[in-house]
Amino acid sequence: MICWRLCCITATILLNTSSITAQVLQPLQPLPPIMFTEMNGTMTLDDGMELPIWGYGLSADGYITLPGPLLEYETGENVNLVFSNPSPESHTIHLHGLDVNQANDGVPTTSFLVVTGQNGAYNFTASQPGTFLYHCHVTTTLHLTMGMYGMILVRHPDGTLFEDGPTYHSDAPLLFSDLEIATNLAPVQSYPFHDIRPDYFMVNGLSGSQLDSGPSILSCPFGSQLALRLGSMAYTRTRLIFPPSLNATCWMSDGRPVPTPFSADTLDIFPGERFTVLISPPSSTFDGTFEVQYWDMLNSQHAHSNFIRFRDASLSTPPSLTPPTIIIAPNPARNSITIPAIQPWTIWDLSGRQLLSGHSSTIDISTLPTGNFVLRTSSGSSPFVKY
Amino acid sequence: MNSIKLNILATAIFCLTTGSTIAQDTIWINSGEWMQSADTMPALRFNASAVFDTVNTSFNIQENNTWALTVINTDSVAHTFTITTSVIFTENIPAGEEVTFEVPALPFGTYRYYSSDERGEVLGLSGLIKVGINSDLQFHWNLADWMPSRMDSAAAGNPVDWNSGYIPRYFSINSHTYPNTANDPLGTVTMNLGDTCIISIVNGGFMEHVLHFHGFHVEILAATVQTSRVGWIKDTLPIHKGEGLTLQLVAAQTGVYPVHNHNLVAVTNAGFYPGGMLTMITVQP
Repeated sequence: MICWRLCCITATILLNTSSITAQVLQPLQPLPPIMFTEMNGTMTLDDGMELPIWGYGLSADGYITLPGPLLEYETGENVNLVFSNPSPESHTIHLHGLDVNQANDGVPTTSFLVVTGQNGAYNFTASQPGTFLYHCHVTTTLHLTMGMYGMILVRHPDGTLFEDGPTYHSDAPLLFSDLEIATNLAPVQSYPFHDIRPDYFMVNGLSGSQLDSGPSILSCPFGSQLALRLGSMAYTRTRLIFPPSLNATCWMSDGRPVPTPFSADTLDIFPGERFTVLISPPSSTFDGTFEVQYWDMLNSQHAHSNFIRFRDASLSTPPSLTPPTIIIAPNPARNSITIPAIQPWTIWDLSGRQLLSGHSSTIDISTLPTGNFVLRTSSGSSPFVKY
Repeated sequence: MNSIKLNILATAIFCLTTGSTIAQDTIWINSGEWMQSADTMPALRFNASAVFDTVNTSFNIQENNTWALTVINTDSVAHTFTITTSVIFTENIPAGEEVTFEVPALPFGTYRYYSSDERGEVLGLSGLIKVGINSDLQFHWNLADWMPSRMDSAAAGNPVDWNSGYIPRYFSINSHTYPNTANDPLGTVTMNLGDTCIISIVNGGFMEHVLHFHGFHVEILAATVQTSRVGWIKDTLPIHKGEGLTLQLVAAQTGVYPVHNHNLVAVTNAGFYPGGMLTMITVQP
């Protein structure tokens, strides 16, 4: 959801007896999101342990996540990515795979550092559709390991994967990564960097039972295709194993179409690689999983498996509408709603799709279509109407 | 194949072993030491002369032509000269002897030649053959990973315990580790805007590697393992153990851009970052 890109166009049509005058106000030009970094975040492991992370976030949200926020652009878009660094160390954003020029490459020795208290800006054109990554390139062995990475999605504008490519229903970004818990607990003692041994394995920062609920459950309607946007920031080789009935077909790698799409029932993804794979539910009652394996690249040992649930959209359980536990005002609303406190929230449609997320008390809903939605927080959920 | 065993002191026909098409080459198996950071490691190399050089020599031959090769083994044990193509070609090279044999014709691409004996593999007897690459602008990267304790043990004549945990301490391109990789005339890519170059890569190590190009995508022209990926255009390329890859790079923009292993353990020297399997591409206006 590209909230910041969508502009409000207010049209006022004045009628009189002799003519129709259409006055279209100039679109608002909302500022693009400002990325920031911090080194004092935490994430919750699947056993409940709180683990320190470094990471990226959106300044408007005010908190960092692992992985960082998904950055979404359209093919051909000229991007000005502003990056603020209030953290105690210098950082960069390397735009992995976008083939940006040297000045915007995010490598400290050949590009520029964003030092503590400073802002920087990366300017580039998202010239190719596809799946890309970003990460800090300062002492990469430590900063990336601590969580400073995310995914970039460049969409082709007509609902296809690329020019003359296949159409698809929706995107499902899946970023695979791992970490060594001891390193995150004591990063200043993390030397030597050639002996990092990951012991926690993630999909979009989640692992194990965390993947079997809420937005981690993937869905699309029978008869349509879900575009899996796959990328790895792991130390391990990731192997995806799809049930043959999903008809997993790989169409793209590293932001380019593959010459011949191929069946991808088993697909290896090495660190830094990306793939786009289309899958579709084999029936309107399908509800299953596919496996994500993590393989140690030093000794070719299977280290861990996660499972991702995928089902027909009709089986997605809409979020509960009762009891309403969050006070939303105004309701119905057109452009924004307010909740009582600053807290993490998500907004869902009645098909069970998460549309927006954030961490503010005032929520911009101008990008939502008209209809009924549900706002969820950790303390409950409430419906609201967008008109 | 025809093997002609001669004494090591016999006169050998020596031909240039890099950069040109040749009818016959002679290479030596030499022993020496490879020094990195605080470690001095026992080493074996294929060299173009009887003088030990830390860099294994490379070959550039025409495609689909047979090729006569003489190998002079100055090591104390026999080595099995090996090329893995669609079939495995081997030739035994006894200790202290010289063997001339005919290498079968190879199709376009990049191939690893190596000693398939434990001592030879662990101590670094692994080179690169470029076949049918006629570009004036060509570079090669012979990738390797090194675990000093395993090398010391193999040099002492002990069998390698392949089931023990492998934790390499160094990662090299053409036997160089960053920052020295940036001064390697065989591997440091320097070109002008609009040029096209060919990069030949083999993985002579004991683990999978994956190289990420900043600033550019490359086209896979040939691959010995991932043959289905020929024609793909990528910026991040896995190279399986023993695999040869042949890439085409078009210099579409000026600047200095890193190429590095994206398995981040491999961009270190003895645990320190940056180091290891990291080099630079320079494109001049």
